[in-house]
Amino acid sequence: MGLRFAKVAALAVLFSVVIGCGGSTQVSSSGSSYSFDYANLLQSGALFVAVGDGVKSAAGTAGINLKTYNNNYPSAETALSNSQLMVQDKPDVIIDYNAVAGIGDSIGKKFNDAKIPCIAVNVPIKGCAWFNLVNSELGTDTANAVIPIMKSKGWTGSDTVVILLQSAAAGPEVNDCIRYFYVTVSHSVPGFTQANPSDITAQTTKIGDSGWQLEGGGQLDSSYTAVKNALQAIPASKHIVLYSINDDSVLGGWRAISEAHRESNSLVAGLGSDEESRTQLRTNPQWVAEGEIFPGMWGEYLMAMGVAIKKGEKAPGLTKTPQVVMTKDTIDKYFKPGSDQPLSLPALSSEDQYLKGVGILQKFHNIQGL
Amino acid sequence: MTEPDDELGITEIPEVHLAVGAPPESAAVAGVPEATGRGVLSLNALRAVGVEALGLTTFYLLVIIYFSVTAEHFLTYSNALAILSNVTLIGIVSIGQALAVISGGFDLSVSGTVPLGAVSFVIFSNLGLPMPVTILLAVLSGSGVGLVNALIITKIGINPLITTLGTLSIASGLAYTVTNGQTVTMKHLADSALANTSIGGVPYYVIALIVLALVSYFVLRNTVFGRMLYAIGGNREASRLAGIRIDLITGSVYVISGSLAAFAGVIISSQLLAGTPTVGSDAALSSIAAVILGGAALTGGVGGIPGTLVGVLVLGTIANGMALLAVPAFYQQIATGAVLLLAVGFGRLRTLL
Repeated sequence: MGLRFAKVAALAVLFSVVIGCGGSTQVSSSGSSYSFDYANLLQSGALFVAVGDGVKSAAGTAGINLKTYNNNYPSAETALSNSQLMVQDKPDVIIDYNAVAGIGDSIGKKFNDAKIPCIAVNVPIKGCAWFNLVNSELGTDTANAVIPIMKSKGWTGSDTVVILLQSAAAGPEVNDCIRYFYVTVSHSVPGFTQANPSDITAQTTKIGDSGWQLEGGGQLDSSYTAVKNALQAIPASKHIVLYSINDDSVLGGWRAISEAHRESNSLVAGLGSDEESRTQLRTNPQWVAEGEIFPGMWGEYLMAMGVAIKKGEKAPGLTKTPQVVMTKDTIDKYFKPGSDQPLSLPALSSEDQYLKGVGILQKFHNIQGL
Repeated sequence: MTEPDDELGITEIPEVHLAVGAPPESAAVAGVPEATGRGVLSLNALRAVGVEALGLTTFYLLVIIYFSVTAEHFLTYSNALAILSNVTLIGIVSIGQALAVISGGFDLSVSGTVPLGAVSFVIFSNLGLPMPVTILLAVLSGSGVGLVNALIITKIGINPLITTLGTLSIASGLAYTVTNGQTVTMKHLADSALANTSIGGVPYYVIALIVLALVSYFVLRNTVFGRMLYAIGGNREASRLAGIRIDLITGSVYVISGSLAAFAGVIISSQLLAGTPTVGSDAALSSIAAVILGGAALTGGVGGIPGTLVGVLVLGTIANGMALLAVPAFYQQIATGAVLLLAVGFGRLRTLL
């Protein structure tokens, strides 16, 4: 009897733990007239955590009730399930950050059938307004920051290998940054195997003798292993330029280069700009550029977009995130050392001007010109 | 029935037949009679297991020869170290997994315990604690997960598959929670000595894998604990009737497995100089694949450390070779699966010859 009771009690504890850990989270704002649902891409990785936290914080400031979900990238099943759950919530606006390429049509159909206005973050969803950084511009701008340094060192395609870390599952849009990075380098620095963006697909592994595209999955450990293996086949005499789709991946690759004692012969550029990568940009002589997309501030724009759409504003094809490529010379314009909060955000692009009239962005007091 | 012997965990042994599952080189377990008839590890079975291991080793040699011919930089000392380095995490996890599989269970929770150990190590290190204490605390976090597994499996009686699936999720969730999902960078780089110190170019963590494998091999072959593990995996009921303290032995396996998984997390954090809740998410499947590849049976009672390590090396070498050949990632997955089936088939084929 006692043993049976103990077993039942233990099961009850387990059950309550499971119940306590499950479900979505809700940020309430008293007196709000709007309710939004937001599904974050993933709840790990500096970029995605920053976006998720920023959305919650912005909802609080903007006075919007927010319910959040985790799409658990790269789980397509979770993203699909979340889309259904969000439709059932019947919010005023759905914001979906899903990077599993190819399921956007299915998700968009659910939102559109339910006649709920929606915003797709990063990867387009059919029938939804699109909020995105322009990855191709980031890749190009980062290459343009790295190229003068390569030239000043006398590096050419004959003695340099560009290592690109992709995440194939994220689809071509996200991976545009590394494609355009290589393309820009190959057209500007002599000796590189020339390529166009369409030449570099998810299944490309080598680009002549001057480019390696590795699968890092956007993660620290798999990028570390991928670069470690590739370094075995890249002669020690070769210079290395490392670039990836996000900073976790860059850090993993950079760790493999350091472990092989090849860091002094390498240059690295990051994307995402977390605290660690900004420290690297300030202190590591080889870390020469960092794409800053202000992920913690995306929430401000998303709240403004949501309200604008709900009010009947016609969103343009693309609403751009604020983005800039920082170098050692320019980082202090955007961040104080040790601070996560940007000093200011760039002025609204021409595409984003429609957000002005909603009056949401003005509540944050951090966008130039507002 | 007499009181159990605390040290050995067994009582006076009644005369029973132990099932298939005694270790390949089995002689009579101390106090356990030689068994005969059905379920007894026969000479033929011994030969079959040995030949299967030989088959896998032969297969591994073929893999090495293939990549040596096709991949220019494969057969180098530096690349051999890279392979050993890459397989250390799964190697250490697989040792614990081998014990669980031999005992007739599974430990899926390692996919949550590895990241929990990894982030615990970095967090404790950043608190300024001495490195041995930091490692100990991180390993204890894994022991804790293992203890929870042990209690649920042995006291509540929930299937190991379901139990460890649940604790996988809990441990993984804890790793996400304590880091807020972010990568935590190691502030005290001296604490990464496991990765940054080497003997003759061989990092300490590879040596740690070798030492752990040797100890496990010795324990499984030469101790009463090891023999009892095979006996439990082979036939749980017969083992119970033989007076073996099944709950104690089974539970200890999960504590050991959890501790080893957390230690693997310590090693990967030392390599990366950072802890992240995403590391080791494939540890459960990879380690089970390695253990089965090494000749273990999912039904328990069969398996060993040498075969498991060869299984780990097969997986790691194939991944490394394909990376050097610049095989696209999608094809790598297909090829890995095909080679796994081929390797197991090769082993089975050899036993028929």
